[in-house]
Amino acid sequence: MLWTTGAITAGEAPLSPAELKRAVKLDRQKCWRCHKPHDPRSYARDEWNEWMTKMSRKARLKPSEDTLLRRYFEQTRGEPEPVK
Amino acid sequence: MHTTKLNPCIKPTPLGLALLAAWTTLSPLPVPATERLFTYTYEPETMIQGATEIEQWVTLRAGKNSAVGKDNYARWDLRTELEHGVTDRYTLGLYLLQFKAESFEDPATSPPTDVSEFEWKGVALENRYMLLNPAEHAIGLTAYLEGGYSGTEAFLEPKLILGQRHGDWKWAANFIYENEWEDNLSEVVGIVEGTAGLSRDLGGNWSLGLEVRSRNKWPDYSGFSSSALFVGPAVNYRKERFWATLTVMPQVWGYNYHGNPDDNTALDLKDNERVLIRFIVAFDL
Repeated sequence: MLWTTGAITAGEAPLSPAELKRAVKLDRQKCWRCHKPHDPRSYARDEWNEWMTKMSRKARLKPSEDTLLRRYFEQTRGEPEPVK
Repeated sequence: MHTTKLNPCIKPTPLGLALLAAWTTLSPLPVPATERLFTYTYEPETMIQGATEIEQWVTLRAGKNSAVGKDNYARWDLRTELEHGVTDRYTLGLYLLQFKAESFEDPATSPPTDVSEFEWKGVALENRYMLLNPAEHAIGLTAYLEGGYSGTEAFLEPKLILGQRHGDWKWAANFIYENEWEDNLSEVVGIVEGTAGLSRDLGGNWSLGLEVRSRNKWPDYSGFSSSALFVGPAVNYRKERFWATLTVMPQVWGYNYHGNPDDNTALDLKDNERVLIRFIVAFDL
């Protein structure tokens, strides 16, 4: 399964607007329904990927959905740091 | 560096930055689940498609008095439920095993007689359909319909489930109307209920909240016979593959509309008990 080897690293191509829209919707439908949102920047990349693997299984994500969400969250690491 | 703008909540806008600031103050990623933070109040989220869970319920209803002929009253209800996410919006639940064990002392006899009863409560089917996903709307809304039959009794219980999460806080409210056919289906009883809960994620897999339940009995639709209000704490613990929730709710107010059959002007002990304790534990399959 993809989620056992699906870690995404920096350098992936940016999401297209259509992919971004799908990823946002998927995030809300599959992730936020069970827990509050989490910022990937608050986690080490390995730790985040480990959680993604667990959550992907829990949310029954399809391989294509898993990949899209991993790219989406990876992309958030390039966004400005939140104000503390 | 990626330049594509992301989810509105993580755009570098004042609102997005404020939300991100809130995010980063949170504890490490908790393990999510389809857990219930309350035991009488449902939350609007349904199960993910394909997910299956088994739940064991244990409910203790305790405390009546000699005026209603039931000293040392205790009633245990056991329920085993299998839940399955048919789609992301529709969850089906099957109550496979339901039992009631009731015991009390009858003060009308001399000496007082110990009475105990064990009864199979039949099977029930529960349907939940999420009309508004709280993650995508200002408020979550789910329609619920449960029906059950035991051979001598039957019930139909529709309810509306509202709720929303606000950071570490989550609330839910249910509006319930239950129609029961008792005594070999010859007697009809209506029950109007409202329940609500507010809970806070404490981190470390724990949540703590407060739950409220209002129960109003309406026999034969000829006017209410009693009302009771229960309030108490709700504690939830969750791990990756299981969760457990406990609520302890004493009756804080009760009223009998026809006289004072329980010789108690502060509580209703005829149709209700002094305290409700419910524990639910669930495992992912």
